[in-house]
Amino acid sequence: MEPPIVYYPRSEYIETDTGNKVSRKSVICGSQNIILGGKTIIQTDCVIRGDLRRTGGGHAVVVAIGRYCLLAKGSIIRPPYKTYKGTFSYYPMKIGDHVSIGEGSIVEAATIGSFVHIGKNCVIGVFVDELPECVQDLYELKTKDFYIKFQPKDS
Amino acid sequence: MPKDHAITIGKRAVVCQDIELKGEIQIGPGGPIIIGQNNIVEENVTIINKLPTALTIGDDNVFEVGCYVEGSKIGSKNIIEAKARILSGTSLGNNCVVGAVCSTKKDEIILDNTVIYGDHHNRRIQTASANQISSLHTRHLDYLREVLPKFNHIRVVGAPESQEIVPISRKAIKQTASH
Repeated sequence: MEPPIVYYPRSEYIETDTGNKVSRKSVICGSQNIILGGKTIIQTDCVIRGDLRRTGGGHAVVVAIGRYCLLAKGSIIRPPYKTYKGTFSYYPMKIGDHVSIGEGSIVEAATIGSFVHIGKNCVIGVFVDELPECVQDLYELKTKDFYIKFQPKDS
Repeated sequence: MPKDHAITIGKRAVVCQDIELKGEIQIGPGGPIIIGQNNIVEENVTIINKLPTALTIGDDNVFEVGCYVEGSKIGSKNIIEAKARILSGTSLGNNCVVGAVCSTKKDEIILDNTVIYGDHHNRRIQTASANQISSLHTRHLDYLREVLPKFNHIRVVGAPESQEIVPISRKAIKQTASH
């Protein structure tokens, strides 16, 4: 089935040089610690916690997100935490390319590979086992298609 | 944060700006929603009191992302995981864990050390040692107290040494007390 073109109000989103579309109504904490790969869409009411960084000095990337990712409305991305050798710390999180995260989902995983689809209202917890691989071609097509069809409209 | 209502914030709490606090709320020690010491409240948590009596929340609780709390009383050292729901009239004991997306029944009394988990909201008794949990909690608190002020806008109330107790993570904490 051909997905429809989705229109959004032009004023709500900021488009970066690399084609990331980030909603002004999302909450991005510690933006200096977040990397977006390009052509990633971050929709309304998303929360990305770049402020929960690993203890210790220096610059640290907290959340790295690849290309053609979609963070749908109300999804929350926060890095995982654990105590390792007696020190409590949050650990960096990496999300691959062509990943879509559904509405209202909470993701606290350490790594999400490429070509992953996470449905609505999911909770992905901290440091569990590794989950299996997936079908590349399908998801690449799907996320690219979504990006192309996510169009501004002057209201 | 509105300025008009009786909102009291205790010592060493960290309350980020642009959160939503409505009605009569006390963070720290005596009103309709009373939050004790050393609680961690994460993003999009809703704490509502629709009863005329006060909702008392004890100390050292963790309210994870997007949980919904409408109980009559919450004890201490509980963990309410992501998207968990505590329905109206429920009273929660101490050292309980309400798992992710689990929910309690209405007007239930949940005893100490209960763990609610899984698809069918099964119950069991806590096996993890309380010491282990509380040491993780203390470290988490120390971390947040140090890191949150660096990246978020914090409203400083009173002298810098007597800064507040509850690190409330950023954004939309809806606390509504009914009158």
